[in-house]
Amino acid sequence: MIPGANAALTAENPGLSQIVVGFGWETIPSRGPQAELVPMAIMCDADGKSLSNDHLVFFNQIVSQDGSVSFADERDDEEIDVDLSLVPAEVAKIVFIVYVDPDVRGAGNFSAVRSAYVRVATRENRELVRFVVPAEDNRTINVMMFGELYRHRDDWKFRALGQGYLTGLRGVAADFRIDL
Amino acid sequence: MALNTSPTRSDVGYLRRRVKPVAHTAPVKPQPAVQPEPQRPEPQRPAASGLTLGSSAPASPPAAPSAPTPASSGLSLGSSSAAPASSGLSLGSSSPAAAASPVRRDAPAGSLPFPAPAIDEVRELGDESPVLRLNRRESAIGSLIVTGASSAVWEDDELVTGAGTPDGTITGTPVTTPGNRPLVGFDDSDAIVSLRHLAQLRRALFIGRGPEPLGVQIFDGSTVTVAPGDGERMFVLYLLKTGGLLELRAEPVARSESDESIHRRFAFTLTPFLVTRASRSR
Repeated sequence: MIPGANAALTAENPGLSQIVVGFGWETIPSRGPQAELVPMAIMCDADGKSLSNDHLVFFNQIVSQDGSVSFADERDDEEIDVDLSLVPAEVAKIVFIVYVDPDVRGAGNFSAVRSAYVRVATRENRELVRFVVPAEDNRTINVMMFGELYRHRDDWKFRALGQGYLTGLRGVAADFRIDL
Repeated sequence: MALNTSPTRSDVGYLRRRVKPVAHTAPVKPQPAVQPEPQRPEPQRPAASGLTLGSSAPASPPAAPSAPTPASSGLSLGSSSAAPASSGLSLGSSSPAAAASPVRRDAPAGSLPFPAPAIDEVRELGDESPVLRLNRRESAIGSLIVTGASSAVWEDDELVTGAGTPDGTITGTPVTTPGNRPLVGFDDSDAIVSLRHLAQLRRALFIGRGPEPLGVQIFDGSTVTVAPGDGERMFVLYLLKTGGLLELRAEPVARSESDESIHRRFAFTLTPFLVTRASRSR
């Protein structure tokens, strides 16, 4: 996939309900502090804003209140499981971001990150789509939107994004109206 | 001995009295040894009140649908989406239906800790407000910065314990995260806790003997200070992880007490640090 491209998930795979959104990357080794990437899912309404602070899923908030989105750590570097049948109707899309942990001791951007990808697979690990994030000059990017699941009529689709933030999690918090 | 007649503390979650299941007084009908109807729904089972290991359901055909799922009030390991009611520890799938259903982690309802103010509600930790609790995002994003600390002691989830000072002296065992940063350590004069690796942290303690009071800052910019105490006693900052949430506590200690004595008082036992070398081929 290329940035901006989309793929039909449920329309092309009737009966598809439980999917795995996997993330992977390589980091150039360093003896000093390393960039530590953290995926996060944000469940958004029709306006593209998070429904609440509890509609985030990441490693320390590992399941949404409705149980539809949950954090896992299995085949890929990180995984987030989504049960599309459980996603509340008011959720119009689920945005998947990956942020570099903003530790004050440095290495807070994507400059050392290579071969980052996001993929969508069935629970049986049959890969449906894969988006390799373009390797560009990421020295100033500290959060990146990898992709999003979104409703299209009665179906779910996936869109590749690959858009970076220069403003970190504070920019994400402002855009999605969440407290971070 | 005088009886304790004080009312039950409902504000302290971990002291909440466990409610025992109501004993069934209805006469028990004899059950047939063999289920005659393979497609018959599984009968509703009463709540189990104790330890359950492995399959606890009576033998039933795999095709039989499972009973509805009442809430569980105890620890459950393994598939729980279709588990029967249980008020105790349950290990493994407890019904064939549970084993066949996909794993779904439910939000840990009912395990909320006792109420504590948020960081925005407390300006100073001390006698008036001895404790606050960070939420899940505050507890896990970026760095927790402690200013004014003259020493820090940490204990990770494997009870590896060490202590450090701003000049870089470390006693006990340092704990380094996969990001090549100390789990708890000093950066210049500030003590830093790596919140990305909150899961590795069990607890930490910060002692401030300098002119500046102990202060805490988190990623969103929120801050809180620790009361300096008086001539006789001072407050130390105690950091404790409870279920993915960080609690910050101001604990009074005698000002004359040494750091080592304070460590012992809080049961920090520094683990010896063994410098290992890469294995050599002979």
